[in-house]
Order: sequence, then C-alpha cells, then structure tokens
Amino acid sequence: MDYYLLTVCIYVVVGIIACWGLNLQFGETGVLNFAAVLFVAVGAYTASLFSLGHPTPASYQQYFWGTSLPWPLPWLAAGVAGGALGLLVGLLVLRRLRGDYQAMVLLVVSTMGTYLVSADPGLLNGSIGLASIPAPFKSELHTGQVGYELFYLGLSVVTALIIFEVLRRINASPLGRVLRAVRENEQAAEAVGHNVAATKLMVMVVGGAVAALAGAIEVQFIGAWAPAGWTYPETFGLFAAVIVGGRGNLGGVAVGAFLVQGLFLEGTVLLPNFGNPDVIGAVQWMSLATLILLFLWFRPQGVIPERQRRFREGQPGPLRGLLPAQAFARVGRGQQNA
Amino acid sequence: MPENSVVSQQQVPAAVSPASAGQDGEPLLRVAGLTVRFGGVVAVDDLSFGIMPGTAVGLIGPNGAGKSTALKVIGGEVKPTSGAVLFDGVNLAGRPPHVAARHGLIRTFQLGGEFARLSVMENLLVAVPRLRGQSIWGALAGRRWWAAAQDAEVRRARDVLSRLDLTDKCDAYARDLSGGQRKLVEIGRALMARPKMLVLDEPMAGVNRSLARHIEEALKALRDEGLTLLLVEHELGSVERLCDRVIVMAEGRQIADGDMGQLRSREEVLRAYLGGG
Amino acid sequence: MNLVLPSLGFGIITASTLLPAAVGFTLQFSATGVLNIAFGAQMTFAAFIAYVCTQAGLSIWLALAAAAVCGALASALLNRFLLTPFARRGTTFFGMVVVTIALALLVEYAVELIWGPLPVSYPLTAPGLVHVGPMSFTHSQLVVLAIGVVFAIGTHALLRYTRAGKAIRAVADNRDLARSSGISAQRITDLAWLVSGLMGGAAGVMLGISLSSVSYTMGDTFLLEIVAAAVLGGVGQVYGAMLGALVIGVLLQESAIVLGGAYAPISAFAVLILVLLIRPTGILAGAAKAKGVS
Ligand SMILES: Nc1ncnc2c1ncn2[C@@H]1O[C@H](COP(=O)(O)OP(=O)(O)OP(=O)(O)O)[C@@H](O)[C@H]1O
Ligand SMILES: [Mg+2]
Repeated sequence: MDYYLLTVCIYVVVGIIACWGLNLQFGETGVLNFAAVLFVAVGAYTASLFSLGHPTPASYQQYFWGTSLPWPLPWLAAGVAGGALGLLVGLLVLRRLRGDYQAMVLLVVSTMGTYLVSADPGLLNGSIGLASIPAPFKSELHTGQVGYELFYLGLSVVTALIIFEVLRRINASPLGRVLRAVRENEQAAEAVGHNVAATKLMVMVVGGAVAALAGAIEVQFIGAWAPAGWTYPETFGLFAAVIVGGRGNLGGVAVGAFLVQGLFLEGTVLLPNFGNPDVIGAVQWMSLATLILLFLWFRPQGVIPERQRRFREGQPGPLRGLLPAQAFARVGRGQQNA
Repeated sequence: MPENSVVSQQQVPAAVSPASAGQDGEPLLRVAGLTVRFGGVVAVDDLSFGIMPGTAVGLIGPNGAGKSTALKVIGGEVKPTSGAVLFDGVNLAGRPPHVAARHGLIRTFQLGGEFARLSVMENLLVAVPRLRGQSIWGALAGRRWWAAAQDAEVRRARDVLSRLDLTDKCDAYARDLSGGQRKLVEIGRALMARPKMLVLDEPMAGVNRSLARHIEEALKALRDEGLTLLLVEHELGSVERLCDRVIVMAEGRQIADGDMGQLRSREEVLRAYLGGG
Repeated sequence: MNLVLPSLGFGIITASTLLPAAVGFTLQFSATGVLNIAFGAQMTFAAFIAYVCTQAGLSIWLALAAAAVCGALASALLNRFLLTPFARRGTTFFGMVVVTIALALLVEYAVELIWGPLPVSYPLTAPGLVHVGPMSFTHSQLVVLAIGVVFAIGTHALLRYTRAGKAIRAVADNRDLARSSGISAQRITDLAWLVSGLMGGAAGVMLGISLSSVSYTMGDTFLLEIVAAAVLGGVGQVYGAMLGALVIGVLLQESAIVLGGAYAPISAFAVLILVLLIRPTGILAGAAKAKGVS
C-alpha cells in the first residue's frame, strides 16, 4: 500500500507540473492549447530516447535513434524538445491564425502526433510504445522498491519546486500582468504596444518545456510510454484540473491537479472493484465531465481563484488641479532640448 | 522635463527629435489616399488629411461613415486596401498595432477596450512601455530587478488616476466599473503609454451626462497640455468645445474639413447628417 | 495494379459523409460562435438511434431520417438548456469549448454504458456492386453518395433562396455586422443548432453505413476530419466546407492506397497544415476579410 501511495504521489506531482505548464498558456495568457498532452508526450519520448541507448536490431523494440545519458540530461533534453515543439507549433498556429482557428488546429496537430507515432513502428515502436526505459540511479542505489520511490518522489518534488519558482516569478512580474492583459483583451494589449503573437509564442515555449518535463519525470518512473496514453481526452484532464483549481493561480492549479489527476483519475483504482473495467472508465470520465460543468456553472474561478492584486507601494502624489501651469511638458514641439 | 509629467516624457533623443518630432508646418500624423474595402463595401474612400502636433481634430459623420474603420487603419488593426499612414515620419500602414503604439500613437476603443479582470491600476500599468520585468529575462530576474521601476510607474499611475477622479477605484476590477468609468480607465491607460498622439473612438458614447462632461474636461486638459488628439464623437457640442478643426465623413468619403462654426453652415454636411442618421 | 482510380470512389463516398458534417459544423460555428467539440459525439448518438430503429424493424433509410430528426432536436435542446444558459452566465469562448468537451465525454460514455463498448452494425441488404468505370460501389454506398449530393444541393437552396438561410449566411459571414442590421440573434442561433444537428445526425448514420460498423468512439475520431475539412475551406464558408470535405475525403482514401492505411489521416492533416501556412483563412475565405489575419 505504501508502494501504491507513493506511486500516486509521483503521478500527482507530474500532473501538477503539467498543469502548471498549461496554466501559463491557458490560465494566464488565454491560449487554448488543445495540444497540451502532446508536449507531455514529446517530453516523455525525448527522455526515453536519451536514456534507452542505441537501438539494436536484435531488440524487441524499435526506435529511430537513441543514446544513454546520465540524469539530469534526459530531463533537460525533454525540456528543450518541449520548448522547440512550442516554438514550432506556435510559429505555425499562433502567428497567422485567429484565436478560434488556433484551438481547432492545435487539436488537429495533437491528434496528428498520435497517428504519426502509431503509424510508423520504426519511429517510436508504434502503438505498442516504448518500454524498459531506465530509471535514474536505480542501479546505483541499493534501496529496494519503496526506498527508490521515495528517492524519485524527492527528485520530482525538487524539480517541481524549481519550476514553481520560475512560474511564480513570471506570474508576479510585469510580464505576468502583460500575459493576463493578453488573456483579457488581445486587441487592447496590442493597442498599448505589446506584441501579442510574440508573447503567445513565448508562453508556448516556456509552458511547452514545463509540460515536457512532466512527461520526462513520468516516463522515467513508469518505464513505458505508448500513444494510447496521450489522446486528446487526456488534454481535457489537464484543462479540467486547471479550471477546478483556479485559472491563473499556481497554488489553485496544484490543488486542482491533486483533485483531478490524483483523486479522480488515479485514485479510483483504490476503490473496491465494482463491475467491469469499461464501466469504471466510463463512469470516471463522465463524472469528471460533470465536475467540470458544475465548476464552470457554480465556481468558474476555481477552488482558489486568481489573486486580485492591490498596490500598496508608491504613495499617491499630492492632489493636483487639472491644470497646474507648466506641470506637463508639451508634446512634439522639440522642447526636450534639456 | 518636469518629473510628474503625465503626458509626454518623450524618449526621443535631442539629436533625432527635430527631424522626426515634427517642426512647424510638418504634421505629426498624415493620412494619404487611404482606401479600405470589405468585399464590396468601400468603408473608407480615398481619405487624406494631416494633423499638426498639439492640435485636436474631430472626425465626425453619420453611422457607418467609416470613422471607426479609419481609426482602425491608423492604429494598425485593419490593413488598408491602399494608401499611407505617416506618423512622425514613419509609414505605419499595414504594420501591426503594437508598432503604432510603440511609436507613440495610442488609440482607444469604441467598445470594450478595458482588461476586464485586471484592476484599474493594473490596466494602467500594462501600458507602460519597456517597463523592467516585462521581458521574460527581466521577470525571471525577480522582484528586486523591477520593483523600483514599477513603483515609479505606480506613482505616476496614481497621479493619472487622481486627475481622472478614479483614485478610489484603484484596486477594483475594471469589469466592476460603470461604462463611463471604463472609458476613463482607457484614457488613463493611454496616458501611461507616453503617447505623442491619442486617437479616441467615441469616448463619450453611452456615458451619463456628468461623466461625459468629466471625460470632456479631462480631454480638454490634455489638449491644453499639448497632446495631439484625433477624436471621433457623435456629441457635436463636445466636438465643438474640444476640437480646433473638424473633418466630416460620409459613406467613406471626406466631405468637409474646417472649424465647427464654418461646418454648421455647409449644406452637404447638414444633408449627410439628416440623410444618414 | 493501379488502385488510384478505384480508391477515388471510396474517397467520394467518404466525402459524401464528410460533407453534411462539415457544412453543419461550420454553419453552426460561424453563426453561434461556439466551437462544438461535442459534434462528433452527437453524430455517434444519432448513429445509435438509427441502430435502435433498425433493430425495431425500420429500414435503414427511415432510420437515417429518424436519426437526423433526433439529432436536430437533441442539438436544439442542448443549445437551449445547456449552452445558452452558460453563455448568459458570461462563460467565455474558451469556457464554452470546455463545456462542449465535457458534453462530448458525457454523451460518448453514456453511449458506451447503454450500448456497450463493442461495435454494432446496420442490417444492410442489397448485395452486388455497381461499376462506374474503374470504380465500384455497393448499393448503400451509392445511396450515401446520393444523400451527400442532396445535402449539398439542399444547403445551397436553403442559403440562397430562403429568408432564414440568407439570415444564417449573413450572420455566419459577419456576426457583429448582421446583429447591428437587425437580424434576430436568438432565432438564428436556434436555427443554426437545429440545422447542424440534422446534418450531423444524418452524417453519423452515413458514417456508420460506409464504415459498416457503429461504435461509441466513431464520431469522436471523425471529428478531426470534419474540423480539417471546415478549416481547409475557411471557417464559416459553407461552400468552402463542401470543397474541404471533397479534398479531405479523397485525400484520405488516396493516401491510404499510396502510403498505407495508417498514414492516411496524417497526410490529410499535413495538407491542411500546409494550406493554412499559405492561406491562413482557408481556401475559400474572402480575400478582403480584414479581421482574418491578426
Ligand atoms: N469587418 C468588416 N467587414 C465588413 N464590413 C465592415 C467591417 N467593418 C466595418 N464595415 C462596414 O464599413 C462601414 C463603415 O463602418 P465603421 O464602423 O467604420 O463606421 P462608423 O463611422 O464608425 O460608424 P458608427 O458611428 O456607427 O460607429 C460600414 O458600412 C460597415 O458596415
Ligand atoms: Mg464607429
């Protein structure tokens, strides 16, 4: 049981990280990244390829390329790959398409990824997926299963904390304010001088890297990864977590990820077995869908809503009349020759 | 330059400004041969005018005359079918809106221009150009990197808010304000962007009378401080009080140009208004 | 052996199914502004209604009609009792998309709970093939083709010659503009959902016929092809959606022959992405739509 609980804990941490990545895009900037799970998948595949070693013809699984690098290089590679994918997809989708098109095309791109990997067995072992992906330090540490899981949980939590700090800084900064402005009103953000396309591209890259890291952490823990694990309803699971927790609030999103990813999607395995597994799956997704509808209706801002920001710094200046003589420079008349 | 200036604080180096900032006789904004077609509709038809720095110009005309479309082209939101928009010596036609804004040409919206779920203060701060911490690296550098710069802007924003009588709304979400107050927030936000010119699309439409008066006063003050204004407005009284000069449009074309007193006596202007709405 | 021409026949059949779906999807989207991810699930639902009808002894074509009507009603009710209330509450575009995704999951898994995870199929009689040059069709495929053509002509007639159709087209073309010229938004919204439900319902059954099986994930999988056809044609462009359906349908079948079945969807989507790179507003979108690119 300890063993299972630890496993769920790691899944929850992974879920939290992935949702944070999506939150930067969807929660803060309003980019409806319907390909969110694709980024997780790319991270997972990248980490796999960077830890599996060269493919051998004799092996029971095929993949186009591979190497074996020590931790944390596979994770970093995953982050880079996620960022690169964000750049690619962003350039394709965000620069030239209207918001509503963007969502549709992202959905298409995500599904295309699933099809592509499934179609070509030589690429990433097709629909069977990759297996036997080595876990970092597993052979060096002689701790037994539970001890190793504790270690891995620690590793993921530390990574999550680093990511949290990065995202918190973005969230609290003037940049975070620009992101929220883009979310609220793209045209107005443009009209006051912000390059909306570049801003969205940036969050696709950063958020994509974060989501890919989640995939890397997950894959080196479970040791296997297949296309069936990243179809588009999984993206919905991520959105659900962000909405339930509270868009734009990192703590809220973490709570949402815990509730949705942990309790709803993983935790149901803990329930006593009733009926056949198909029914459990169906009931799981249906209750998740109902949960989302209830939240959107009764509490669209989520469990922990976005913080309303107040400004204490900067004392108000002395109250002036509307027209203090010479208080304001005249514009455009070459009077700046100070 | 006075430290508490709301309006200008132009960042143009002295060496550059004589050529670009517009000498006497050189308009700050010049629109030449502007035409916009939407499919079969000619929304703007060969529009040409110039606006001298420090003047306030009104753009009036019946509904559907193409005023908003003209402003959208000037602001970069709509690409013109043909024609040029020269602002401060740069052709902005077809460039995206943020480029116009970075050159100091800031426009407000006829409807819904505020950031609804940002506080009034945040609405203003968003518009500060090149604020430290707006880039990803600045943000990652942390609060210490940008806090002082932001504090200075918060003080400036408080000045702006007190001028607009919005001080007590500072921390309220913009969506919780009345329509007129939102328009004021938009004007305040435009001021934070250090504009050389403000382009306003019906800032007083749908606003109750006393607040409209208040907006008018605020704009008049800005004009008197030397800010260049281009104003679309249906309330002709306000236009007359605010603007040195008025351009009249109907069905996409410019049909008159002069001061309000002259225009009132011109027959085609009256006909356009009576005929069009 | 050259299979390119024979598979053109399959392509046309796929396109006939895709056509009402893509037209319904794009009409509803552009007239109401709701990106309806549940469209595929609605198709599945209608396909199962038709299955129930055939089990009750109705012929497949009557069942198709019944399913289309059910689809239309379900769609209209859905709009009235779920989507409109959410929209009234001020749910954003993004929120509405999430609502429809939730709905898609609800419908899809409800179908699974009711009819089980295993595919079922319609009783299709009329054996024998009809040869048209190098292409050959079954009788039911020919009827599917005919229904597709009828839908194309019907849509054209609806939009061109009826007042309601003209209003829908005006709204689809430019929602704000149409609003401001006094077209009743609520009526048009209702009508758009009704029409799209009808077309989606029919398309669901047609899909079941041409795949010769009906499963609970069927519509969801097909949704991607619908979206591809609609985006390819330029969202809101009804004739564009028809053209998009034809292109995607033929492309899917041809690339299945040339590249192998598994690659078929990829090549279709790759073409979509390519087209979008060159023409971000789709093939048929009006060139002067100033808002399109930004
Ligand atoms: N995106 C668009 N697509 C098609 N036609 C448009 C578009 N925007 C504006 N038009 C048309 O262009 C013409 C000018 O519209 P515009 O909004 O510029 O008028 P306006 O002078 O601002 O009117 P109002 O006083 O009502 O605000 C109108 O006939 C309008 O229908
Ligand atoms: Mg207007």
